[in-house]
Amino acid sequence: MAKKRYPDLRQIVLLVVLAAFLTVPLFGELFYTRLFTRIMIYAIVALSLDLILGYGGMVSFGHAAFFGLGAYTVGILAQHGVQTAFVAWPAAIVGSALVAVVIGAISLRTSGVYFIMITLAFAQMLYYFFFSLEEYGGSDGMPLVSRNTVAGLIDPGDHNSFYYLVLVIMLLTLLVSRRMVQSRFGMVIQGVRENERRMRALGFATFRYKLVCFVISAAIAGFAGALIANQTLYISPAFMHWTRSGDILVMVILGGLGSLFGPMLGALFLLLAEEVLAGFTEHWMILLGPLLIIVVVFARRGIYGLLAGAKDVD
Amino acid sequence: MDPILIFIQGLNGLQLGVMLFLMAAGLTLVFGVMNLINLAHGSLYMLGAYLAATFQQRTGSFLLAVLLAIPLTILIGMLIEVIVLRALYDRDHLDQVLATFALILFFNELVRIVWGPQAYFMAAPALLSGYIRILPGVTYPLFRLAIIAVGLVVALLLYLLIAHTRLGMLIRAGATNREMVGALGVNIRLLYTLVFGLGAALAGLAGMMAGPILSVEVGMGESIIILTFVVIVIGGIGSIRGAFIASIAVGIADTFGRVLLPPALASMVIYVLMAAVLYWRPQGLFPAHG
Amino acid sequence: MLTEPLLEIRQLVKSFGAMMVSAGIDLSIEPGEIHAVIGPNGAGKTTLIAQLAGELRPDSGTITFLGKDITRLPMHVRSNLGIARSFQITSIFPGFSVMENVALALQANNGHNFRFWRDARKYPIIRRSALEVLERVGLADRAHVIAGNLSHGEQRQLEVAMALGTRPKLLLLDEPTAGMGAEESERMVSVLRGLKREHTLVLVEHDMDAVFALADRVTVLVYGRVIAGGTVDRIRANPEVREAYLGYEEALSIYA
Repeated sequence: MAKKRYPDLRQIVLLVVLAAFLTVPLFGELFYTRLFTRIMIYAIVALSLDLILGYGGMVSFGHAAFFGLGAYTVGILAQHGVQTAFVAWPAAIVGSALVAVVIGAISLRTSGVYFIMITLAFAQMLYYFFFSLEEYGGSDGMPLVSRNTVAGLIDPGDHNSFYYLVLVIMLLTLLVSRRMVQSRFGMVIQGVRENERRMRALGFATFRYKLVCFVISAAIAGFAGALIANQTLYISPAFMHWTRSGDILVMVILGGLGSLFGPMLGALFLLLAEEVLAGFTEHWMILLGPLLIIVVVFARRGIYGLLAGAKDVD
Repeated sequence: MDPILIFIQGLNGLQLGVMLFLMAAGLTLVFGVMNLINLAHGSLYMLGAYLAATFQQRTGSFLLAVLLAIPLTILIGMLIEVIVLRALYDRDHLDQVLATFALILFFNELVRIVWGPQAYFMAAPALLSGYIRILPGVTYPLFRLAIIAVGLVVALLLYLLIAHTRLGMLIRAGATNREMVGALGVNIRLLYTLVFGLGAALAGLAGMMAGPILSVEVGMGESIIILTFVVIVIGGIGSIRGAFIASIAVGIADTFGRVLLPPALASMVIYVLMAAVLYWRPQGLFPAHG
Repeated sequence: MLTEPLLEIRQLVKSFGAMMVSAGIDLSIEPGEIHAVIGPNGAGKTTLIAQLAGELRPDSGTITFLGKDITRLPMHVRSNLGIARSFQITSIFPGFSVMENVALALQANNGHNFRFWRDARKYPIIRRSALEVLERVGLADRAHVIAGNLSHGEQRQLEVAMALGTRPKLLLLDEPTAGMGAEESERMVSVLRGLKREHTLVLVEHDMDAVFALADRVTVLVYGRVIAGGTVDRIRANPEVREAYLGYEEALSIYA
């Protein structure tokens, strides 16, 4: 029976979005360049959450902690004279990963609502810790004098160069993540999400796999944190507040859980809406709540899921 | 440490504890009976405070403000239950977390629109605004003592309700075996709405009493809801007794932590406590479901 | 000829609160046999399987597999040693295809899984082996169907396939024919019979047709206690067994 090929709406939307990302700086509007840089960075952190949430089934409400940690690593190193990205960025990645090993090793012994609560608790611990750390800004946060240097290859002051660097990083992260979720490791993680008990009966030491996934996800979030510090040139404990974790969760759900591209769309949608609606009224947030409820109740698969229509999401 | 200081801080801890208990009791009931995580419980706390503050400004009486604000908070709570929460009972916890997080966003903005972004001032009732001598040479704010008293009375009333009334029996049954209660022909929907209303009343009351001590501002719900979740996780989800013991423990631990430790570490005390409890007794101290 | 038992259970005791669900069970499973465990409801059969698989820790007693004490070993380690389990209530991966379900089982014992780059579907050994397993249970033609869309009987077949996928020496099958009609049960029985050459089976069953068609030996469990054990014929003739199965008198007498 001949198969009729319908144009996949998702692929079209993704191509359009990619085209948009590629061309934004060409318009020369600094405002939009900076906005889309932010969007891409949040796309990366939302993607990292999707790895554990959408693919691993681990509902973490403390993901922003790793995001903030990455930012603080950059800031603290800068305060001590380390300006090069080649040290600061790997440090952010490794730092977040190490903390994730500790947090994950403890939290992953629980599941369900307890896991949500304990990840939330750890994030709050980190938040309060940095909130009280006067040497590094305390509650006011600390400014970053200039962006990390990339061995003179990129002018830290040039917004366009930074934009394209972030774009490349985002695309690479998407690529690597996509390979990972389809790999043997990815299948194990998804199996754990679908039916952990069966996975253990089949012979998988599920704790190990969950922990590794958790750490990888945190490492990517830490990387995104380093980028956001470079973008906003300001590091604040607010990056780690639990409500920020909630925002990232919202991006993942709005965009489409378990799809990698969905969270990217979610970040785009949310941050763009924020800009557009804020132009109309300062109280635009009052729409976000009900909208999110409607999405959760009626359009659970998010934007990406809606685009897929009746087909299953990848 | 000076024993009088210990005593005073002990009272402060107790006061924080009973306030946490008011919040935790409602939250743990809702979670235990309806298996619903409600992040927006803090929003009811906030709304209670704002409503009471407004009524106090209009009427000049704290007591009247509380008497007016509580039923209104219950009403709002029940509306939330009927309009939003009913769609979530069958959903997984992630969906409930997201939807109730959305409610927080909504109510924060709503309060900003109706009352403005500035903090509100709420005065303690004139009768209770002074100090009382509890020991020779030691005075303590009367209002805080009143909070402790009210909290303990409410705890007692809750205990009587849960242990000695039919509604309480249904609640206890619902917390341990939801399906069975439905099968027995009880009007589950009504039970859920009532339980939620009760929780809303307790949260609102906590907010109203907190108003004169803390400030009435947008986002006041966020800080207390986290503490409250810590309490019910430590105490055991679905258990009022666990909530009581845990809230007193958390209240005292937090208070003494702030007195004894540098600020960075002080805030971490209760989270470390929760992480430790979850590590050794993942179900909490007194789990209702067993 | 005396052979070392594959699985040896000694004085297994398990209580839930005041209720003793396993009251000192002694049992040994010979390699290559099909051993049925039967008993009325509440006998503690599934609890026994759970303890053998490692999901439940017995209060006391020992479980020895191939001469090794496995009493305290966790589930996944036992699986790696060669013990596989199928569940009474179907426990598959409903969102994955039938092939992917079995492929996961094969992945478990086929090299380590901390491989992050290569597409899981591109491992030819796993694909081929998965198809082989599916053929043995009769699901090869449904390989690409999403498991959640299978009929109940097909899902029970998948249950067994997944257990097979881990290349076990010992299969613990908890009511493999549960909820199946007569024709499907017969097919399952012939599938299970075909496994005898390479595997040892412990079968918990309510379906007496299946038990009599398959079992080399039968153990009868009542209220957590072994009240009888032996060949099918001996069990059928045992008056205590008949008594325990009140009303089973009728069922057993049909086959006498």
